[in-house]
Amino acid sequence: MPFSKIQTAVSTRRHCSSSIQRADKCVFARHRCAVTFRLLTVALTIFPIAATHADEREVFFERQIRPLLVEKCVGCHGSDKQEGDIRLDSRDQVLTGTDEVAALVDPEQVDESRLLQVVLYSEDDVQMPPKAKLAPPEIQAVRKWIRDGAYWPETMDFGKAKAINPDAWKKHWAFQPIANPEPPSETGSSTHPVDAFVRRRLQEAETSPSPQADGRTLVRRLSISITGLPPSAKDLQEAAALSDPTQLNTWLDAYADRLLATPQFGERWARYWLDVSRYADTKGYVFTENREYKEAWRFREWVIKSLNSDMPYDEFLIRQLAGDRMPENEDPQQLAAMGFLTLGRRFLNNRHDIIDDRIDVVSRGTMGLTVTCARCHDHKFDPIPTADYYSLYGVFDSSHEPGNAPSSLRLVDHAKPREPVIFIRGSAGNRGDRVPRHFLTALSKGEPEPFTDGSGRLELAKKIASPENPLTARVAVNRIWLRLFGNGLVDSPSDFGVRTPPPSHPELLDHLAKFLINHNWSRKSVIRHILTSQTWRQSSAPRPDVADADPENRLLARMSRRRLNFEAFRDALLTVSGNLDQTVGGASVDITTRPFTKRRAVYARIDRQNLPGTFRTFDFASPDNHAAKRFETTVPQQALFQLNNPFVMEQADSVAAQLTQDNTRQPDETIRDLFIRILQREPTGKEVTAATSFLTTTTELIPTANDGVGWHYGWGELRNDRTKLARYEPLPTFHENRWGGSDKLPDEKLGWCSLNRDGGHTGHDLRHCPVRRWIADRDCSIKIHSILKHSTDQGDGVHGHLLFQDRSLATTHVHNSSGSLSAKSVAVKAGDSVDFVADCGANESHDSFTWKIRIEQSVDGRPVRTWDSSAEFSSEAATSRLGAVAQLAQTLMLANEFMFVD
Amino acid sequence: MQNAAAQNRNHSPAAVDRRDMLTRCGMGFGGLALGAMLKSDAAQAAAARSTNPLLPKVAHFPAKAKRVIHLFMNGGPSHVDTFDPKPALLKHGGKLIPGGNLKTERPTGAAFPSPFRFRKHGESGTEVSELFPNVAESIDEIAVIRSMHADVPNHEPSLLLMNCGEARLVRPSFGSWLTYGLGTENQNLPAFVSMCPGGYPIQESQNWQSGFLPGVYQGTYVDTKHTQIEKLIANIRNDRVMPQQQSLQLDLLRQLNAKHLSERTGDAQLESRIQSFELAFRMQTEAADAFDVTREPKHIRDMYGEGVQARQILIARRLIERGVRFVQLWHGAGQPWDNHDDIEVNHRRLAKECDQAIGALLKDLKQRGMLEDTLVIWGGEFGRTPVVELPKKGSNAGKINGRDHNHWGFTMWLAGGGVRGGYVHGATDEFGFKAVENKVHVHDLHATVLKLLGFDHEKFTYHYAGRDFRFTDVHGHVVDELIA
Repeated sequence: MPFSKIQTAVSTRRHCSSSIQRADKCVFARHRCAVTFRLLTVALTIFPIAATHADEREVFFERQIRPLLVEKCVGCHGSDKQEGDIRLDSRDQVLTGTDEVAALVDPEQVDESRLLQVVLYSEDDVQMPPKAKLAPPEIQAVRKWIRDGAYWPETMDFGKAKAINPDAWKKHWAFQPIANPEPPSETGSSTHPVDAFVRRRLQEAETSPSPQADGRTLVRRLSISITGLPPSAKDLQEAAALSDPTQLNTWLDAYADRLLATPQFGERWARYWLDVSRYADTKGYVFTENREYKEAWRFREWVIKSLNSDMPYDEFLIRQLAGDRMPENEDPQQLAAMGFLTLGRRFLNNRHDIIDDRIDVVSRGTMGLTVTCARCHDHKFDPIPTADYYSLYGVFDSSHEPGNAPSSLRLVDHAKPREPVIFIRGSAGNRGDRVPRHFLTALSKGEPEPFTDGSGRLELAKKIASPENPLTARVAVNRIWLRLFGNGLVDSPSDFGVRTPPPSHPELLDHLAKFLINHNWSRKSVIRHILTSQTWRQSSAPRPDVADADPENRLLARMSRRRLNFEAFRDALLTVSGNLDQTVGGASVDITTRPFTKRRAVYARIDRQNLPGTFRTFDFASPDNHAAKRFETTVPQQALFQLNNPFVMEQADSVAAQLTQDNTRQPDETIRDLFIRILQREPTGKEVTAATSFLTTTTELIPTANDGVGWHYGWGELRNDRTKLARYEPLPTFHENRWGGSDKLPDEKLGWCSLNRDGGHTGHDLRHCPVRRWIADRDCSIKIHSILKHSTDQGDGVHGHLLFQDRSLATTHVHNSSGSLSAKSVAVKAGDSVDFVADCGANESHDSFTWKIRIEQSVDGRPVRTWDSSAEFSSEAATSRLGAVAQLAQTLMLANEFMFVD
Repeated sequence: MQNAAAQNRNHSPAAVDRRDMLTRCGMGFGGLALGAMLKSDAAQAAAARSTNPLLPKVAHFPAKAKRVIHLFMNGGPSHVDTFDPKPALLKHGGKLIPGGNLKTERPTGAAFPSPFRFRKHGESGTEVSELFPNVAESIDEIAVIRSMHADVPNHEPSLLLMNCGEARLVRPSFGSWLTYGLGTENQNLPAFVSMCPGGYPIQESQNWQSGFLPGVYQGTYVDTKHTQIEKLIANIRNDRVMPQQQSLQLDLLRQLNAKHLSERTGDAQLESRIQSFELAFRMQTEAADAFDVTREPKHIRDMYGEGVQARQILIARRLIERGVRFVQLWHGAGQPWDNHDDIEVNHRRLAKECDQAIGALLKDLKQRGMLEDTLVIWGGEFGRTPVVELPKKGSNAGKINGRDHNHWGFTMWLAGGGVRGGYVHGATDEFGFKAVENKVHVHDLHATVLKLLGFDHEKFTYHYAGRDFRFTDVHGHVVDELIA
């Protein structure tokens, strides 16, 4: 019976820890095993087995040991998986050991047998099996079996310890030199190379590309892809006017060039690199230390400028790793490039973690290699030994931040570089072999040569940014492709390791990588190259014929529809409202609090520790980790933001304010203007009808003619007869949850006089009474129901007065009690006010009250509306209610048409 | 490919199918009709998952617990003063304990007997100190773990270990893992809520971070010092557009979007966004309702008592009742239970602030039949030393009446959600310094809690940066004894 027959499902243990403190449980990691049990490679023949005992021992093995191994061990250490390169179904492995791992049992020294040690579950050692300790009789059986000579019949050997081919990775596609493939010719010699590669795969799948999208769609697609902003009306019109495809394409080529030359290109594309760079303006949690990276924004500035000037990508990388060693190394603007390394989380200033973060951002960011997996043990899959990790560790350990001048973002080399040692299992307290500082072994020809120039940072940078490096250019063009299409050619843009499947279009990836290198590493050239392809200009219309076979559109039979990202959405709102501040560059600004900045979202201050919820809600890249791509989720919190956030309404208001200055305009003119401004097109007849009806009904609810209708929050002077206000003023300030005299309570002038959602507090005399005022929006009849309540037996209670046109409709006094103030059927005209006034009586102490008011409005006996003082309580002055036109503008801003790019 | 669910389709638990989802979420305007334009149910389900990662999903195996309330006594409550009686301290009071003190954050001295009386409670006879009389009334529902241990005696790493399973590096919090794995039963409320009155605990929002998981799984922070809904949840109210008007806006939006979609049939992300507006509209009412404890009958409010603890614990019950997956309640900003001095006065005050409400929560859940599938977790990031902290300028006001941090051994308790009630697991040594019997590491607790929630902690993974991450990393053993 093979082992597997009775094998039970055993858990996966495919993980590793990069944690120093507890990585010691990374069980059979080679180094440890090598040390601990390379004590015996004794052939079984050393233990002569008396024939008479063989049967007995075979039975023991068969009944006690093999089932145990099968049930508890081989799930992770057997034919399917060889955790720690160990197989417990392999007789040789267990009894004799392999090159990698020593024998697991030693009948001469039972207690030294590794197998026994791990099942003993000693606290300071590996504990196996991980799920639960074996039962005492089972442990006894293991001990007895080893003591009796660890008899294992040869016929029962089921697994050869898997010989690992140490060179298998060399065949991995990403480590091959970048080829310069000829575009397939069958699609025609004039075909754009990008299209040629894409069409060949489509042909193989027996399908075809989609037709070109229309001019308007492409103008919007280009504008948003390149600059992150909606196109101008003029450009849309020009493109729409071109019916000849050749003319249109020529125009689009020129348009793309024009856009690539704008500074807005750098702003859009810099943010992508900031995602990769885990950019933030703060250090994260550092206890009471100052959290600000004061000059973080200078790194952003540098990225924007380098993109706009089309700095060659190799130089772009070298300056970020070793700007201190490049020309202009005294120029703070250039040195800011090194923010790439220095702007990570500070991990309570733990040096090992800071360096780990730098190794991660460099290796995944530039080469798509997960080098930090090798912090505690050799990379499980990729050819990255722990020694390589510590080689790089040494490079960064030999560099330091020299304080302020000329740039706080700069790193420089120590006078004397540090020679790294391996930290065994990642533990700094457990030092292993010394390793030289050098480049990654897998990317070197033969043994990597030690770095000799200071820390080696510049040498490292040059190795990364070399045309010989098979990864760097591929990773770079894949990132560009990802931003332009929504998917990368390689699906995991920051992991090109051996477990990463080949690109969807391997030759295309190489073509683009070569193109980058051959065009002096110009990113603009690569972008332009892609944008001029028909592949990029395809329609995004659904393709039912390929939807099932290729749901993720990897073959590119059409363009993928994209959702605006957080920045583009915010920028688009500011653009259509005409408010966008197009200043390029500058320090970071808080974009979530009032007054709302009109700058582009790329300039947002990013607080790594407490990133505001809005960013998270819109799938902003986490500033804690290098982020290869953003998620595109749709959750109700996004809709809440769009419906209710003051910033959105401010933009809607702004659009409306620019339109409604002329009172003679017809509603359909207003509607047309709004569609053109916001959706950049004419409305259809149906849409005009729907929008007209919206404006009419909304205006019914709040007539725009009188913005002052509804609830107002003020204070007044009550005449001695308490039937009329001698004076009324709005309460000037909303603070915490109430309207009052100022941010302070009591206020110097108005004292405690204030109003909140459900009530308020009286002032100190009749001349300072809180007044909740309601102004009628139309001629109607109203019914008033209200309850005034005072809830303490202290003080002398509160008086309430319901005043309308110089008379008191009702009055009451409450003291630890409630009273009703109501009025039936009062005829009011539009603009009339009804006042709800509270006075303190003899003294104002203990004069908090609640006063909930409901007003039922009817016209000609027909109920039209109920007003509720609590539900409609507002922290905004009544005049700032959004008008009907602004509400329509906001609705258009919420449309999918605004949010998605075809 | 950017969508979260699709990226991890091999690792994440299966989403419930779309029909099920529609029933659970309540389908909104036009939703079904629009849905019908899509090709197949399977395609729709995949598409819906791809854009709304919070749809309910099923775990690896049937779960005993469906939701969690974590009562976080931040700062570190003293186990020898609450749930782990140590008579030996009395015997050795004022004397050095034999064998010497273990190293903790600060210098410590002689044995410090608990100033609080312990008494047996319930049929189980589990001993609880006078600090938690109301909790003690439900002791037969509770499994007390007296053998917890963590790695270091410092707040920051211990908080992160307890919440994120990793002491220093940036990793997703438990609540994020859970919402990633299970989604939420109520799309109108945040799936994962972390409440703390008056500000943040230390390590701040890292305690409920989503780490490398998509941002939508991050905990929603609520400052329960506030009572007004707009202060509690972002963008929940609109002072400039009235509800009736907003309803008209949404009607018009539906028409615009329907026209747009009709020219682009089969695009799930468009449809999903259409739905999200309706969910948002409903969320405004539902969230206001959920956070408004004044809607509870008086006898229930009286049962929980007065004060901010009572309010937030009652809010937690209202949220859980409405399908929120994970509610974490912090005692207060900073580290309130961190009593390096005056521990008698301070622990008494802190326990008084929350005991009645926690006791009420357990009974209230029980009477609603919710305790059986709601897991309640109580504890801090570590415990405190059984020996007195020596006076040191700047750290304990020079007093000799407090206890230092203690990660060597401490107590947590679990109740409901399939936990074995009336059970005491493990033990610390004679003095309560170190867990010695049936030790439970924080990772073990995580593994166990995941099991209660239906997950095999070794298979519950997320692929990121070249490998499959687990909440328990490479650690954690399920403590089966804790499971009923």
